[in-house]
Amino acid sequence: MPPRFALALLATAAFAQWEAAPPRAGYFLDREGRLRALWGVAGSFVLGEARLEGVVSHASSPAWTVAKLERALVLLDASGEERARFAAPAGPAVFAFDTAGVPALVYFPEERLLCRIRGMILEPLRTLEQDVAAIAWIDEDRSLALVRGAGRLELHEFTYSPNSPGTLVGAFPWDGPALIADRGRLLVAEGARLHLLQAGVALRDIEAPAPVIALHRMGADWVEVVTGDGGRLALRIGDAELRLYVLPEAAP
Amino acid sequence: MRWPAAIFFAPTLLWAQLQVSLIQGSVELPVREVMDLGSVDASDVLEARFRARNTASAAVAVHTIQVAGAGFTRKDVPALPATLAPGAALDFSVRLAPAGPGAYSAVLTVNTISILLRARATAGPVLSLEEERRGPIRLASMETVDFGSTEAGSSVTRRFRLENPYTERVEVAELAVQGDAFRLSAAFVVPRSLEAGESLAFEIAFVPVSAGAHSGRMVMNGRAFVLSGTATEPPPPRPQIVLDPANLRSGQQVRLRIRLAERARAAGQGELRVQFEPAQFGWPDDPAIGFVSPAGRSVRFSFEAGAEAARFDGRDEVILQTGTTAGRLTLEARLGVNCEQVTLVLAPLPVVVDTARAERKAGGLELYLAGFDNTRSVSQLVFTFYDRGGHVLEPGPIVVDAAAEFRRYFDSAALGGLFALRAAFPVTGDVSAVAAVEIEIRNSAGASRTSRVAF
Repeated sequence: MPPRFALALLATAAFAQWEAAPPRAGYFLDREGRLRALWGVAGSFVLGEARLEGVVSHASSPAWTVAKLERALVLLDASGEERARFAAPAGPAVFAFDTAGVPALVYFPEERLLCRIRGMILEPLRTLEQDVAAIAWIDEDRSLALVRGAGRLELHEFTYSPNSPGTLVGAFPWDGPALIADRGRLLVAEGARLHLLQAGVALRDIEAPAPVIALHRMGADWVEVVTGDGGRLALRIGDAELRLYVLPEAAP
Repeated sequence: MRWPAAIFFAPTLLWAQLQVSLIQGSVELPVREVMDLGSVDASDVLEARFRARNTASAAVAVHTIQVAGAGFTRKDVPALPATLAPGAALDFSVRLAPAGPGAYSAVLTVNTISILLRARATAGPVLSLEEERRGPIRLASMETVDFGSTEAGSSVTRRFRLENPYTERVEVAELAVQGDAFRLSAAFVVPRSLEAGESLAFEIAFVPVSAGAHSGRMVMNGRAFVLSGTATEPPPPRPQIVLDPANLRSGQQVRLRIRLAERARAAGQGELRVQFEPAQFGWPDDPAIGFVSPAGRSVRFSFEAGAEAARFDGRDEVILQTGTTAGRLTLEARLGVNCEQVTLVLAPLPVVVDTARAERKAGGLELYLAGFDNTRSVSQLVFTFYDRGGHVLEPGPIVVDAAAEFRRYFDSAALGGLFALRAAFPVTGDVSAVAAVEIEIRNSAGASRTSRVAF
């Protein structure tokens, strides 16, 4: 007899809470540096209004979005409302979310400074002297950093003890734009080619229309791909396949 | 026409009360009894303009203006007699059309004033335009050769002949064509001689690259001939809409190209528009339908001369989204007077699920599903939970009447048929025993079921 368990619900609409709502795929950066919501599903995207201007870096999890302005860091919640704003060093930033999808870490390349985002506070943790392409949260004591050097990418595990060296956990023969996605997956660009890896093993790859110059986490399964010819694409990093879609472009 | 090459300057001739002068530009040059009008090519015409001015203090009647001499005629003579007030003047011309090379003279008489006019006609190559039906047409300097009308990018050719009808050799020292739209098509080496009776043919082509009036000059031995022609815009090619994939349905990004039915004979541009008619009257428009770069319902395309396909701001194709609403899509490519229209039906579909996730939370299960219903008629949701062994868990499929909630949602949302579904199931017992879920959604077009989604 199969195990039984009781669901506290009845076979009517009152058994559970459910609702229909507009599907948001994530946030992306348009050509004018404005952060915009992207509504829809694969192949059917609708541009949302510009939410922030002057954005230089951004990343989104299913529930949070973090955006770097020239000298500020802004956190948006799932509904797009601004929940926190910090003064931050100038220049771009690299982000990581914890296992619940809450913004957890931010790295400022120009300062070489890794910080913890904790509630309303930006807490400096340590410096990372390498050329850091991406970071990922492991736990309260450790993080992963994907660093560039000698024409390749190396994955290092760091603690937050100042000056403690990292532990090399993997190396890859490319040094293009990269990000660390959820479930331990890496996405790395080599010219126009995008490689998805897990545990150091290549899962699949796909060719973009032009060389890739930037990657941004856009939501749960989406990555914004920026190409050198000004193209902006949405990459679905699903379990079954990699697929590229063209992002809508606001009229000038 | 040649201006006189030599003028004898002399004290003003004041026969009676009239002063006769030769007009050169804005200058009046007084004439004397013998006047050399210079030389002209035997194929050309020489014209000299004269002025008779009343220099007396009383009115003077001009009753005679005559020219007598082989080849000479008077021209633009006002009605006579003409009365000139003190200081007033009248103008007239004398014209020499030589019959051939040689010396020419004539007597010009104005009232009682007589002036001997002398001129020379020199032997030179005779230029003719060869016309099939009319035969050769001799050309004088500054005459216009009209090449007619042709399409920009095409060409029209006229044939000419240089002839020496005289008994002595003549020289072709210069033969050139000026003007961007005209070309001397035959290889013609100058300088060269034409013996008595010899002739040479050559061609000039009118090759305009742009529409409009065009002019040029042919210069032969210092004599100029005007070339003219008109170029029209070639008709634009017919645009052809090419879709990839060819069979459309809702929820797609489609590659669209414009092929030209024939190679373009000139550069041009057009516009591609998409219109949408929902399957049901009263449904709002679908913002996901349209082009993506830039987002909208129209996009311009262009092409260069010689092209076989159009381009969209430098790209070979444009991306069209078919949206998430059933209905009819009409694509219209307009290029000048040509228009190509394609209508595509976006058929009603069972709900299309794009994303499905399932998570265990404290005390319950959370499901997230995103997709679209292009009929906006979701009626039922059916949730079926499975244990690790793949067995359906009690109470079996859980059916939820979703019609009212989805109707409310679609009435208020402005995203076509797009929707996300969030469902939370409180659980008493070991929630980890729930391994997976399948979700079935029913609408007016049928039922669709997710694959088994693991927690």
